[in-house]
Amino acid sequence: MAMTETRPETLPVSADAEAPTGLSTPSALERLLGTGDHKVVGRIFMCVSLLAMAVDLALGALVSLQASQTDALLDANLITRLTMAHPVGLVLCGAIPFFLGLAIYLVPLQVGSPTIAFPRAAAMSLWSWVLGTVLSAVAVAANGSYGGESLKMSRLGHVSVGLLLASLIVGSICVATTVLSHRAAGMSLDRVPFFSFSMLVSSVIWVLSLPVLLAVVVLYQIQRPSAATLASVAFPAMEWFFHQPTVFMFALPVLGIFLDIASSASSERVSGYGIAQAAIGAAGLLSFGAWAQSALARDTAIFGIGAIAFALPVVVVLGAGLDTLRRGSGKPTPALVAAGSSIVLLLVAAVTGAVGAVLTLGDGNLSEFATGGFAAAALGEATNLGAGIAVGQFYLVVAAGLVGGLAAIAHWSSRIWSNPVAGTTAGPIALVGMLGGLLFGLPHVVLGFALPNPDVARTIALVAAIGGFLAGTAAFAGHGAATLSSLEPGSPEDVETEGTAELQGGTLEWLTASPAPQGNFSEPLAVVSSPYPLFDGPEEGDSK
Amino acid sequence: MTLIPATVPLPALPRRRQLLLGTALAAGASAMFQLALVGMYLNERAAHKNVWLTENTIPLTQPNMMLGTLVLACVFVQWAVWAIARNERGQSFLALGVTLLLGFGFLNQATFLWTEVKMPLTSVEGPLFYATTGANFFAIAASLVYLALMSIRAIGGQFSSRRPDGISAPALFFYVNVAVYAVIWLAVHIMK
Repeated sequence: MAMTETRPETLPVSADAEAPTGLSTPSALERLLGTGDHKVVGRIFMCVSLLAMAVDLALGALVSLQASQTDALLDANLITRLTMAHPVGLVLCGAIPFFLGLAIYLVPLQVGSPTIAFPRAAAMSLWSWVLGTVLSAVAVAANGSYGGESLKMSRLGHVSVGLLLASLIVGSICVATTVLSHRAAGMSLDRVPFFSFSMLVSSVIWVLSLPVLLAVVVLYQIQRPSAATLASVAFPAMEWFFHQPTVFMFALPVLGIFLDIASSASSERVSGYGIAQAAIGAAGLLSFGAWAQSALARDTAIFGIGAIAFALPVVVVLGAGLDTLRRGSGKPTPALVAAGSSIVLLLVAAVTGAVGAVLTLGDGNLSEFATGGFAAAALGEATNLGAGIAVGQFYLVVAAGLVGGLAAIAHWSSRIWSNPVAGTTAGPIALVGMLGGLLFGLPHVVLGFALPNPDVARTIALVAAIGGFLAGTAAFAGHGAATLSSLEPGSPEDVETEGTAELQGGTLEWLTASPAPQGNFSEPLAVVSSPYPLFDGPEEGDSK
Repeated sequence: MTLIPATVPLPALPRRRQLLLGTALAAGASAMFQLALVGMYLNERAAHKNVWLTENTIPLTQPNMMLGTLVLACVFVQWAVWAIARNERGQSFLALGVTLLLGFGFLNQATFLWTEVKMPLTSVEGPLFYATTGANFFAIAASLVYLALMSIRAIGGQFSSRRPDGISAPALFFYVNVAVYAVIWLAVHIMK
């Protein structure tokens, strides 16, 4: 009995192959919906998540704008809904799915695999996530989700969060399994490119953290809650997910992105490869926060030490990147500047948490949202130190993710699209995102630390609103560039065939044609003997 | 007459341990989901210890029998893993069949327990009791479906000593969920 495990999408395609007679050729929509090609799945993930991030940043900016005014700009109930919806959307519809999409596209190329692990599961993850995003938006728009008045729409919003979580768990499993089991011959874990390694760490942390939030969603759904219960009980029970230390897991991949871009920009290897990998692993470990759900758990020495310690691995990664640039000969590229900016944003967020921990340790205030919650802090009504700090920290981390993601688009765009639009625009767009992120996050931190009088607080909130709109504009421009590049193939001279690409890095994704052919690599790969196989010379000992 | 020459090379093995690693991650997610519910159960019980289970009772007979059933099922599923790794296909199918039978026995006892308890959802402990035990019920049911699917593929000749992952992966998922049941048994049924 002959059996094969080879997926259809990994089979070589003959140019003169004809469809069997009697079978209709699938339409473009059928091909799109039925694809198991990791490149298509990854592109859709990235494009849609950037749009969702743009919308949610704009909603967050609206909330800050309302906080800067004495008069009501919008209906009070709408503001309440937006206040609770935008952090959920920023994380579950924006940051995590963007990095998942980038990883689903790029990780197989980096580790030398013809496809993602479990390609059909990855496609299922994409489409169920798209459905969850649409349902979530419908629920918020129809007076539902958290803070809404419609019972059915509130429950729909709650269930859609569960669907989003389940989808992201499946996608994370696909990415982590690809890094663990699809590596090219000779590529041991200590030779995995930094972005893939950071996605392995991130995916494992997501796989262990997202189900905990899913448990909260399921529990409150079983209780058949009222709309008011969802806003006043269920949402506060989920707030630990948006605060320290869990908040850092949304931007973990930027550590790998920065190191890969630094190596490419300088045409130099990162020295202390193992130490940098250990730093990324430590950052992942310190961002696991399912244990810190209650105020009691947050008011402990372990929590304080963790809050202070997170800055350390970020500094190590920053130092490793700067050392690589110092030794190299390259010039700063927009992608490099943007990636460095994302690390700085993450570092600011980490230092904010560390300072907050030092000032409030023992008071139970660092992430104490029970006395006002995310809503009050975002509206400038925080009455305790921790609320403002944590909200500002959240925006800073999300901005770090956005800027790092745009840096990745600028750097790897020639691997993803033949159209050069995304590659040339993403770098400058990322810098706008950096400015917006700082203006969005830091004012909330200032509000948290200073607790100024209402007039000053309103002015600070106005600055935050401007920052939010700037960051949202950057995300929307990034979405436009990525979507345009996906829909419009580049001119023939933009298409790189295998071996003709200008070498921009030492990792395997630079070996193949752009965009990568079906199966990713047309020739069998040589045994990998270092983290940078393309920097290795043709003869042994000729490595750079 | 044979059409296959004696020197034909063996077919390429699939990616190293993809199924086992993917299943391990899924099992981790499943365990975190259920343990989070157990944690919330313990938290709520500590917060309402004066009224917890004052109007409802959870019998011990069924939970004890359920644990025994699952432990026995673990022995059989390990037998299946052992047998497929040694190409003892007959033993492997027998062990998988008995495992599925015991698994369905567990599910039957779980539903019987719920009918015995008759705990209303409106009680303070009701939602958490059903969420915790129900999540484990569905996790064990998913393990059995996974085992059954892989058994069918094993009958088709897909798994052997060269590729035992098809049986060991669902076995791993089953073990993890049984371990979580042991935690639930202790936290919910024994410690009350």
